[in-house]
Amino acid sequence: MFPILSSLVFLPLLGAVGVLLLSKENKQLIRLIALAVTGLVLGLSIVLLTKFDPLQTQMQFVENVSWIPHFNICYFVGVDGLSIGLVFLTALLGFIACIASKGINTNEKEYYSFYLLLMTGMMGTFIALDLFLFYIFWELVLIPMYFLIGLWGGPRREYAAIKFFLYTLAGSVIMLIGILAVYFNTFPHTFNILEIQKAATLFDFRFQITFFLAFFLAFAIKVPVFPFHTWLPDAHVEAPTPISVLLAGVLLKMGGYGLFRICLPFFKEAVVYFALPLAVLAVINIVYGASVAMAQTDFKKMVAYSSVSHMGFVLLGLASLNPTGFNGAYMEMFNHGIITSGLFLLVGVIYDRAHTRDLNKFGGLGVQMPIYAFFLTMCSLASLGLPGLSGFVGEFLSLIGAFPVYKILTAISTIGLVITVGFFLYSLQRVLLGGLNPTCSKYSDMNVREILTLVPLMAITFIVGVYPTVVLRFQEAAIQGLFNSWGAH
Amino acid sequence: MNPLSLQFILPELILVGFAFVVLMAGVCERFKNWAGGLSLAGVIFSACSLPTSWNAGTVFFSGMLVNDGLSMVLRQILLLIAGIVILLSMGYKDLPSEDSAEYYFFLLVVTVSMLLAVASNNLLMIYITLESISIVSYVMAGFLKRDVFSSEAGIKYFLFGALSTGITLYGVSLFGTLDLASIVRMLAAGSVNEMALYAYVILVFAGFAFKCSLAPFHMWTPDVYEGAPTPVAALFSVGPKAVGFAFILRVFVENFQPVFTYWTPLAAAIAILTMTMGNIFALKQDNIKRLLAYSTIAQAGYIFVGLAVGTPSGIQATLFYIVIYSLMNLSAFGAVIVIANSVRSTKIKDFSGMYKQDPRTAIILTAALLSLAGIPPLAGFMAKFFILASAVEAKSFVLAITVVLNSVVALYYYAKVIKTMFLDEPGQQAQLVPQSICTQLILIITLIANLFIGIWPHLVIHGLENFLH
Repeated sequence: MFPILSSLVFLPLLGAVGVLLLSKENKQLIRLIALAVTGLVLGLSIVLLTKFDPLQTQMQFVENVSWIPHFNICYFVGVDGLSIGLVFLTALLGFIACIASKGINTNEKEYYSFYLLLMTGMMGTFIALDLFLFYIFWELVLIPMYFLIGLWGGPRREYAAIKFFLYTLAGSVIMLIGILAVYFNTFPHTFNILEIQKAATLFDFRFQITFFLAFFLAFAIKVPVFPFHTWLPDAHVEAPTPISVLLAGVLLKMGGYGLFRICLPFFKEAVVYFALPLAVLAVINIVYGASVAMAQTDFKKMVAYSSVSHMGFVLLGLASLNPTGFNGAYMEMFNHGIITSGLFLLVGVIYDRAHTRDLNKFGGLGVQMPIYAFFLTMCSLASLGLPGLSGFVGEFLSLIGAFPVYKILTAISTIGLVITVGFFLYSLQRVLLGGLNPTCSKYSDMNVREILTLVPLMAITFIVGVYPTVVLRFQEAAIQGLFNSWGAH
Repeated sequence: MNPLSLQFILPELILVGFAFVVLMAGVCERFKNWAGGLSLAGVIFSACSLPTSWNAGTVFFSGMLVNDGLSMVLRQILLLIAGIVILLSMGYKDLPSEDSAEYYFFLLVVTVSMLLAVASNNLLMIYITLESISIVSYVMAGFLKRDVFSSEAGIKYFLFGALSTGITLYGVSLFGTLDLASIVRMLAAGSVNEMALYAYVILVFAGFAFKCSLAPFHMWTPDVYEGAPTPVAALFSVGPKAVGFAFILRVFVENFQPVFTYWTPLAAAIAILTMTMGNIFALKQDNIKRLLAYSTIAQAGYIFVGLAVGTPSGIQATLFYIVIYSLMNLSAFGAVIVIANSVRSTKIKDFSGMYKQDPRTAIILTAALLSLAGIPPLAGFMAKFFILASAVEAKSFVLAITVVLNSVVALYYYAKVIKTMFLDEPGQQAQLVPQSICTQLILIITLIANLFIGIWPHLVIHGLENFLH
């Protein structure tokens, strides 16, 4: 059988090596290779989607090869309903952000090799079924990200890059101890995630509490969960547009994915024990993130904080501990990836023209740039959760799942929704409406390339908003399976 | 005398022979430039004559030397280190060419002492080899005699070293016997005065800890590394350290753990202190050699974690770490030699924009530093992973958490160097010096090994396992 998952992971790596071997001057060719590789990855992921059987709860497209026999470590990959959506999301955003990387015009060779290496890391994280392999891919994301922010970022890029690197590393090394502890407490010792899930019923309560926290810290920093979110605004604001897209679209999902793939099945009692604190953190994320976003004058920072708010719904759905909540959380991850990527692209579009992101320096662009106005309005409406667009579905399911369990908390979190509506409409007003700001009179509307990057995202937003089943059907069986293994408990 | 004994020390004899040939070559004007090549040949011949089999019970020279798995592994590693350091020295521009023969002579002599040291099975032999490594080291540290810092390094190393070996000698004398096996028997029989035991552990350990630069005996390290010629600093950072750890392993871990209950907490405390102090002091350094010196202190702390845990997997992890650490540290020092040859400085700020001027060396130094920081998929990550695994297996979570938090702190200063090379604009135009082919070769080989072992660590583990069981 064709090793489709390995191709998804290692094609970008091959591309990165290929780009490195080329001469610096071949800028066109380098860009072409990167586009071809990411395009091929997207094509393969679509093939994967069509061949994937959503009704099965087993792992599919499994590849399992022994890697470090001394520690019983395997190269073990596979996808199920929990990962397939995120694999597709990674491939799609990887391709779109690669198109949007046209604006990068210094050190293209290094940029695209780091970019492709980043793709390998992200893809690998979602398909790895061996904890050790998972950790390697998880960490592999850090180095290219550090350089991508640090070399091609904004004025405070060095600070943002090192802050991102240190924060994430701090979380993940603690997770490494957790991984080892889990390994030594499973008999026979194994890093195989599926085996550990089966053996996890034998973990005693104290062990679960301790190592749930070890894993949770790593994932919470990545999601990010309040109070570990402070790296996010810096990294987002300083990163170049395509990298912001991947940060928001994919990297934050790595945290959410980890919670579902590892924390939920490994530490069931601990998750039940910590459900209420998790829900409280979720509500803080939602309300606090939205309130801070409201106060921003920097467009990109506002979108960054809106991510903090949205990721709160992921955590809320998870903390509700029922299939509806889980489905909501998972939908929210996918939809947030699509919508927020669109928003970051749009912020990039206006920044390329204005070289500022100050919301107060725009005005009246609705007339000057009608296409831009259309996309920005749609993305903002989707993000604030307008029914009929995809953002609504995830948040709604999360809230439905959470309401029977935490009535008051759910009520408070809807305040966050109101604030979200507030700051998005306020930003639309400042950018698109009012009299035309004279400094903006020279701005041209979006070009074909920019439109092309946004069309697929908008299409998905519409389709999922109207007919959520297209996404739900992929994840439902897996989530029901995850929950059933819980019910047995 | 048993002819097998002579066969056992054949590698050392070959090195001694070559050492004198190198010294003679230095006298003749014609052969002066051959010193490096000759000593490299000596190391290669010596490596070829290493014994191919071992047996834990085989002792030579009435129990002075032992041929066991540990000595076997470490003699190979030490010869590899010596070979790499010779190649690095051949590309080191500051070495006065009129003294180069003496330099290589000392290098070979210190290698002989280290080889004998790791095979020592008797406290007298341990003391003698320790002292002979030290005396040659003092000379090598001060080898750039016209350089004030180098002379200072030599004197400083001498003062600290003389004191610490003296202390060790006093400790060694406490039990009335120098034979390790009889000491173990005395300990097992419980016929040792408890105070004498404590004094013995502390005094002897101090001497070994000095060589490994374990805190609180690490103070000499930054000054000596900064002043010594860079290839010598590279050698000090790996060779004598490996020897020191071998001594600790032989004298304490294998024999004392069962009878001396304070060993584990004492060792754990020293490991924690060493990594933390090394990393914290490294944060503020602006000279790359001093930064690497503090980084080696921190690395010694990680290595010592394996010995503090003391389980078979801990010991194996320690040996694995020593192998990997030697490779990545020599890679880092080698890259620093190349860059310092170009910018004529070892200040970190003078490395700015190095990536634009000399991308290959900048990438090699980056890979070495990221490996030292323990970032996958480089070899340093695997080494740290095995150390961590041994700590977690033994349920020493305090050690494990200290190791990982320290790696985060360490990343900050390694990243600072990387940032300077990649993100900062080039300062004054550096004069790119054509590099000797040897240095380039070594750098590329260590880079490949760094990547390769990071992905297939079991090749090395498998080798180590063969020797240890």
